[in-house]
Amino acid sequence: MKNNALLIIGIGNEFRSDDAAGLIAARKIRQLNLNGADVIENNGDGADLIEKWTGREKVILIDAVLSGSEPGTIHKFTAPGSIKPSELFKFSTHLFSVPQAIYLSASLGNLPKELIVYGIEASSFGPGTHISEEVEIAVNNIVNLVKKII
Amino acid sequence: MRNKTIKVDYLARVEGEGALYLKIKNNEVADVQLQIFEPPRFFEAFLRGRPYSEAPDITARICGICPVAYQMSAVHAMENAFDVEIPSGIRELRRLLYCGEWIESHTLHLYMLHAPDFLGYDDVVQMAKDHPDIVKKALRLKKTGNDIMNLVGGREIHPINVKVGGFYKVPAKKDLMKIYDEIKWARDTAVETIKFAASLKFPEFRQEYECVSLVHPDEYPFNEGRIISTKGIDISPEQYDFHFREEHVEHSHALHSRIRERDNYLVGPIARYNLNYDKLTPLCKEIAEEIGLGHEVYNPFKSIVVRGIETLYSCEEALRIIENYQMPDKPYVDVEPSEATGYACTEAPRGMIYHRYRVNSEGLIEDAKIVPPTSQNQKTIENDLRNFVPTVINLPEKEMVWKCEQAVRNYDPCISCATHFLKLNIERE
Repeated sequence: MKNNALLIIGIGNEFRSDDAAGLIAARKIRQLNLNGADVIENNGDGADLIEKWTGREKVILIDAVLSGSEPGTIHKFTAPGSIKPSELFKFSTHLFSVPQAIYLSASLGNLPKELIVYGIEASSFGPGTHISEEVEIAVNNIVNLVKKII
Repeated sequence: MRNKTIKVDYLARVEGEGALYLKIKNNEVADVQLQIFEPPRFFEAFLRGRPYSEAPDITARICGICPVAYQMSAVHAMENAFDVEIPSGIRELRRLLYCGEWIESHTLHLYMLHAPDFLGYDDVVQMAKDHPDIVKKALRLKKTGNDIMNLVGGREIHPINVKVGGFYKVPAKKDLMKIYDEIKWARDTAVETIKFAASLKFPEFRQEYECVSLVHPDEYPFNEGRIISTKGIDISPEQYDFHFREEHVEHSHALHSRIRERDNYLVGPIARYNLNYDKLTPLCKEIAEEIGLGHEVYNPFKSIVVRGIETLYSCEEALRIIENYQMPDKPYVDVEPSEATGYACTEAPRGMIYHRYRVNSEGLIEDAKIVPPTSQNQKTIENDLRNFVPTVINLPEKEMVWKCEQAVRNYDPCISCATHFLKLNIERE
């Protein structure tokens, strides 16, 4: 079943410091009450991601990443082209991570036509509910970016 | 090349991280160590001082795959401590919640993590390219389990609806009926799953396990029963500590379990199947018969088939519970805490799990002990490898390592429960 509305998925674990970035971004975007966009949160379970985006034309994923760049750096990928399996998205609490979900979905033929991933470079994935200042700024920038897209 | 060192830095498709070390000397296995090097997680320590009512929610956080096992064990242990009787309606809903967890956990392992081993793929992503229909079905089957957990548990990962004495909210029959047809589909798919699993090629390998599982007079075990072993143990969960011992070994941060008067033992699908075959449904038995599985399994590689049988059982049990369901008048029974110690064992997808809590007169936890299935199986995994390696020792190295990893994955080890785990190092000299 096709659904033309844009789907925005914020991924993360709110008890792992900057790993909450995707969730916080999703909550901020939801508060904007943008027309024509659905916003959901996900804890990084790949199987659930596939189920949620199946039938969607356009999806934006927001997740914290670790690549060695400056904290707060925003990486933009388009799937599956510019995402390598297991690269960057190391901190999945499930065996089935974001890149695996993207590649699996591509194999199954249910990957959305347009899937954009915004990765926010984190400074810490340690236990805690505080996010770093750089990541908070990046979250706000992504919220603005999404606002413009819509 | 009789003496050698082989190192594999990361063993994929198990939950968590750790290492496996194999030393081969004169073409014989000199040493096997499952090295769990992740730091301990201290759950038992930080439960101390917390109210008894928090145990199910705190312990659920031990695992994202089998949170229900922790919640169920915690509530049963507390109810055991405070002599709480649970009405049958709530008991049935707990079994339904457990069905959801078994379906989602077994399906994840069977198709996504274990099947690629047998079919020669690095992972399920590769497998999906050649077998997209199998993987699509697997995802839908797993989702059926998640749907049950969502409906009864409030959400699929770390459910929030479970409390000591029952649930915060119970679903109406019409809510459960919404997923009834999907579970029927899941039941039929589970039958196909068993036939698929049985069609895989298994190495000839038999281990003489002491199987340990809960056994209930009328049911295939989830939440309740006596602890029975194939070598004569027959005890209630209160007696667990008299018969089972946890010991520290230098190479693992997860404690090893053993039977005090003997040695290692097996928990999990094979152990449950061997001790509870007669409690399976007629359809489960019919399919087991059709594929020639027998009433007992002692080849650990066939655990994948038994997971299929247990998935079918869970679907049928879920349908039965929903058909007979009558919404309880009250979602929970009141609990009056007292100074007491409570014990419980339930059956997690990976095997029996033991919880013990000592609670003071204010209802605060003074002491907690949690023994997850993977730590109970650690020594048995090492034993399997000790006996399995000689059968693959002459294979090309890459293939041999692959087979050894597969032997570990037979257990669907959940290292985040035991602590965390897995790198594979093989040393030959």
